[in-house]
Amino acid sequence: MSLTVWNIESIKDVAEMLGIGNLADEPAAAIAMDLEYRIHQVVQEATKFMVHSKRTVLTSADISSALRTLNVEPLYGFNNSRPLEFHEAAVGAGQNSLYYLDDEEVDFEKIINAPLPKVPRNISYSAHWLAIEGVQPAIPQNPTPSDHTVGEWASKGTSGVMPGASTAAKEARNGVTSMDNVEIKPLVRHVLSKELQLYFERITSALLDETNVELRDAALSSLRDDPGLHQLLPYFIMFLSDSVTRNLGNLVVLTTLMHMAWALLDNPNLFVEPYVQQLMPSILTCLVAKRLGSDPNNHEHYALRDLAAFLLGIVCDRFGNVYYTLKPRVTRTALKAFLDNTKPYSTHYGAIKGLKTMGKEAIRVLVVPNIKVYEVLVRKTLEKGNEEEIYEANKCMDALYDALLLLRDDQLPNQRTLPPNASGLLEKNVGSLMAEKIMKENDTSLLLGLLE
Amino acid sequence: MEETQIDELYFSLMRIFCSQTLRAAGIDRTKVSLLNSFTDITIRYIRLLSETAMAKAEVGRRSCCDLGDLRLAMEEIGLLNGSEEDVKTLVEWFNGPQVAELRRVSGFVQDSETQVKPKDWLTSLIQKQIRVSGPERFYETVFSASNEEEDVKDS
Repeated sequence: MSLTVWNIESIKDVAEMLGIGNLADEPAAAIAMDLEYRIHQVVQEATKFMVHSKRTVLTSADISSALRTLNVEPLYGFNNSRPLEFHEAAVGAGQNSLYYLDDEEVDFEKIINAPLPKVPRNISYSAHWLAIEGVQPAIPQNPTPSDHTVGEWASKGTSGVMPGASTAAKEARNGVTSMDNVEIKPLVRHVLSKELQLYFERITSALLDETNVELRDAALSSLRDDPGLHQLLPYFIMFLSDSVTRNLGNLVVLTTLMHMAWALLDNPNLFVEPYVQQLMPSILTCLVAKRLGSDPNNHEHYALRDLAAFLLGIVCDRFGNVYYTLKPRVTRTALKAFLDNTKPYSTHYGAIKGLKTMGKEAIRVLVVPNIKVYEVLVRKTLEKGNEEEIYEANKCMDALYDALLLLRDDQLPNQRTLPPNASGLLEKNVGSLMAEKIMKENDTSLLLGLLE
Repeated sequence: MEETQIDELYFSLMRIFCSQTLRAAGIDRTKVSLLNSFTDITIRYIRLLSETAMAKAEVGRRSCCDLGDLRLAMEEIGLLNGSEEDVKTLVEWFNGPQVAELRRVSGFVQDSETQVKPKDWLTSLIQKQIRVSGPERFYETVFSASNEEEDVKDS
């Protein structure tokens, strides 16, 4: 009995082919063992080539390379174009079957006119978007929405039969861990480095700290100038809107938060555009909220409203072209707040400031025709209201006057004279209260602009 | 997988060339294994020749090999013995009846008055396939680069 997988008989057959008639069993067995060793050697060497080529299938090219490194004469004529087919030869009963390679004769004509095998693609480079602002565009290179279901992504490469997401989840729940379920990770995970997380915490706590002005300023200037904060931007925006709703009674914090919004808008390295929608409510809140700050007699909230209006102007100027509904929506909100006489003066003030940032046309078309109606409300307050209310009403009139200044006609004021009944016309246009105010200032260019 | 595909393609192209060579020598049919072996040996031979020529070029600090490198390589692998007569013999063989027959068999179109550029069988084959199955078959494949050149020259 032989110790090898190679039959002594086949060794003897080959020996016979080479003219050695009667090979003894012993040398035949030795040769068989050596043969097995050599074949192991070749296969082992070929496997190395396969592994280094990052393949999992051993090819005839690997064997050729192995033979070359082992300094063995190469075997010619083997390639992958056609699988080798062994045919079984019928031999007498009781004997091992004989296998042979089918080696038919072919016509050259047939070879020459045979169709070419599949022509592989050329190696080329191209660019495509993996994601734009966190959104994967629907192009062939990207996974389709159906790939996003949990689990399938991770198990795709590991098994031919893909378990459905539901079964995978069920198995996981039952505590059965198969190979496919081990590495299921959510597809999109925002990875923030430790340093960025630390930075975020430092900045937010500095901003909310009312006592340490220096630290706050440092935080704001860092937000204004530092590069590399983009990853944190969504978190900052979220923090901003959260904090605004939570700190409506705290003027200092609200002002700081508006400064923060300003800093974020100012930072040349940040791309705020996608977050404008989330940013707007915070700014508008600081503009037209009924009450900002805990003390109603504290008048500092006007400064905050001015700041919010200023930011509104920045946002509308910069993103008005991209979000074409932004300006009309803001204008509508402000106008509604201005015309609603159940709202307090503080809201009116913010609304007027907001409308002013919308530009000359908004003032001319939306504000001027309504001043006369608004005057009724103001008059009532001036007659019956307490000191605080009168102050607020006056503040609104000042804001209105300020807005009207936009309408000043600066063109050639010297060559045009006021009509004799200017005061009367003005009163008809904007009401007596405002007319009085304007006449007092005696601003010719404003008068001309309004009377036009 | 790409790599084996490309190997396969080049092997079958070379097999066509070898069939034509054998045909030019007056042989009409062989066993498949013999043809494959012959093709394999031809590939190995050309590879050896070009690798040797490249080695010579690198010794001369050139990035492309020139005719001198090729001649040195031919001498090294024993195709030429280095004498001038030997080179003349090779040139004579190249212009001789054997190569002419090879050209005729492979359908090589000699440059004539109508044809500006001589066409080899591979170009004709690709153009034939483009006519049959449309040019999409070769878009962005290993053949597309040579096709584009072709188009530029044609136009």
